[in-house]
Amino acid sequence: MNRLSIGIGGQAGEGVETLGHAVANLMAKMGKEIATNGEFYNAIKGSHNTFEISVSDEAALSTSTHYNLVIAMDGQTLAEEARRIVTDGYLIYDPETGAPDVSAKLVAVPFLNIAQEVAGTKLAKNMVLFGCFAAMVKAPKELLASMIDELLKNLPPEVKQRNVEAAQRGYEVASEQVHESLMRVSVKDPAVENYLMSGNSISALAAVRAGCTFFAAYPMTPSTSILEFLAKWSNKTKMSVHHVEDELAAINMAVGASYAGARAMVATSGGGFALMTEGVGLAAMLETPIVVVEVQRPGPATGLPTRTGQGDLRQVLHAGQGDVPHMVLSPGTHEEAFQMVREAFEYAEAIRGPVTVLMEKCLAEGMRTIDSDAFDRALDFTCERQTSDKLKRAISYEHDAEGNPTEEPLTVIDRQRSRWNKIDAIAEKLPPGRLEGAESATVTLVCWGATYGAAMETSKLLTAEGIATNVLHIKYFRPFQSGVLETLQKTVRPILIEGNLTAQLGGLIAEKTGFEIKDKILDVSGRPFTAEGLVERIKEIL
Amino acid sequence: MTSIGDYHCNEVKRSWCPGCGDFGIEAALKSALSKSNIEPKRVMTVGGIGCSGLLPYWTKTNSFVGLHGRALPAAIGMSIADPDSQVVVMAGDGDAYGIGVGHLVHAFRRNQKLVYMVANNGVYALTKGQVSPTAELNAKGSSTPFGINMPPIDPISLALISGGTFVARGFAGDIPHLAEIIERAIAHEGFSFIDILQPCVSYHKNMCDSSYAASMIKLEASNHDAGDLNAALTQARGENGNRKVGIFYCKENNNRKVSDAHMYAGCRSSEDILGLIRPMRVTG
Repeated sequence: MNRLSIGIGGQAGEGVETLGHAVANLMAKMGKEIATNGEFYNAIKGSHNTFEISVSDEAALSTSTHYNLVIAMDGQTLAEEARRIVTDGYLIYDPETGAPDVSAKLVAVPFLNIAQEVAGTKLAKNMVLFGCFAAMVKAPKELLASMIDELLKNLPPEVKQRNVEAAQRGYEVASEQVHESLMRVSVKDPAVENYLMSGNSISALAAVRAGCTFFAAYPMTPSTSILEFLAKWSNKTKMSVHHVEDELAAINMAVGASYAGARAMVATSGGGFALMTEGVGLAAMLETPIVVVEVQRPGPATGLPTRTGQGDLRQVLHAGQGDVPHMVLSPGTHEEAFQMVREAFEYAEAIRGPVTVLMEKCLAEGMRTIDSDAFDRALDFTCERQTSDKLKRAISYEHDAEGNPTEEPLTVIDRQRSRWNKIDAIAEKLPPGRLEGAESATVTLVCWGATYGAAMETSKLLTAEGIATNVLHIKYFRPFQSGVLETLQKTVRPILIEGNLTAQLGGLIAEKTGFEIKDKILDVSGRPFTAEGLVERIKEIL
Repeated sequence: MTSIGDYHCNEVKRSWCPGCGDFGIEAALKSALSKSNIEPKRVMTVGGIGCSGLLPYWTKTNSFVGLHGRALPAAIGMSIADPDSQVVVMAGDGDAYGIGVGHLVHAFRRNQKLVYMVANNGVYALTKGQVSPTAELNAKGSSTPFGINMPPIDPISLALISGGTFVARGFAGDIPHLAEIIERAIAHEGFSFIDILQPCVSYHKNMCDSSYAASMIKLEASNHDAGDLNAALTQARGENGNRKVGIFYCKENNNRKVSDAHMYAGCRSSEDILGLIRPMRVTG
């Protein structure tokens, strides 16, 4: 098998995520490509959470809805995730939590008892299960000690030792029941330098690489860890990082800092962005570069804080009163997130105004294996900060070229146009839209943002089934990237895929090109698209 | 030594009403800047929205007019990014005590070095005569024709209990006294807050009477100890507390980091950034 899909289910606070990270890390060490997705309720304790991991020999672009292995930490997993195990798949469960009623191969592990007996606490059950998993892929048993040492690095040595012993017992128990390996593994070539990173950590890293010197934010799921990473790194980076009273303060501080010479960024989610919108217009009016990262979760209002979605394209595009020259873009992959956040700083200098990078929770919190050379692929800076001895005037009222207030009609018209001209000028520098995948296809999937991963994997599955499929991934919304109309005119059956109810990109494409995509797959479940789910829905359409 | 004229911008026509208290604040600020000998290019004058917020238009320094209620966070961002410059904010009572009051409370906690002046006259003048958060109980305005049913905010007490390290009030009709306060505020190593009673000739004519000017009580006259927080609160909360002018409270040597060090991108090379993410590295 060259692809393994794992689902871990358990109660919040039981260590579902820790076990997920341990499994993902172990498989990355075994030279595999990883994609993860956490599905958590908006609660700290006591709800049913799921952590999904796709492990692949090739690039893993998305997670799956069906699993080759389910690890059931609670009884609810037996009733939910266990029902999505593929034929010949495995289920690890504790007979104490219930009797499974599924056709999977059962691996019964009394992990609650083992944890209590070996480690003295049921909390160690995730480490028992980690040991079970390691045995089922025939990973070297010695790895358990060093990995648990790293995973639990904040705990006292004796606690870590008991956890290692619990994992080793799990390893032995699973070895007795499962003799084949779920996936062929070998310890990866140490010469390959790669990282297991979330989209948020990558965005934070891109800001550092771009020379960002000022960052302000108010914590908002799912964007918060950008603030946390930048704060943690600030001792080394010397970036001025601020957790401020609200998003109004964040963006206005960033505009002030940018005015005074800093390279400034803010990060938020949809609700925080709603508060920032007047500040986005301010940056445009004052011709002050700033970068905004907006990580989407479903709205309206508080919506689904811990889930994913693509409902903010229109909000971001139309942020601010009046015609706001505001550049908006969105990456499809973790590698592209690094490039785009970094380039956003350059675009902000070029247009002297606001640039927003839109992401989704599934990309921001989902982890991927990234090669170190991905961090060198972005453009090098060409627009350095201009300095001048002249006094700087930045006035949010309409003003002439010198920054003095004016209400004179011809000057006002000229100023409005000159601000938009900079957006038009940057349009020529952007790569045109292009098709990826099968050259001549009967189906073309049109998407944006992180839906790209599932769309690409869908195109491979369909093409393998004889339905030649390719993908048009739109990355730049303002200015709207060129070549989209020409590309769409060449397609046979375009199908739009978006994580919102109103086809926000579809409407934009129609507005910009006059081309209306009739077939649409729109999803507002709050869960990321998966290839299996898309294949099914595309077949219904065809 | 710089002169008052060095800060004067004659290119832009003034739009304040003749006799507006804002002229007094402008004169006092320019006098204080000149006495403090800060070159115009090292000054950033920030305006809120409202009549007073137009001050940066006719000030020959770096100037910034942002959004209503958001002058303070923008100014804090400037002061952090360029600690060598003196940031001076001119906000109105709507900006500071209404729409932007959330920022004000946190600015006292942050204590970033800048001077924050609030033109306080109890009315929204540029929108033509509504009550502001400092309007007296039962004051009538175009939006409260039967009188406002909420008591006014007390800016000095708010500043003192929020941790303000320089809390003062001035009167726009007494330029030398106000200039002295601003000069002290500029010298203060932290966030300097000055509530300024500023007569509005169009919408709050009572403030323009000579009897109003005569009702000012100078704290200096009563041997007030500006190092004593409780004494400051007593002055603010006591009888005629809203007519008292001078420095209520000033805490120097407050052992805070005045501002971030000069920022620079400390990690620009690939090696530097890979160092940051070493814990995320996949090892064989």
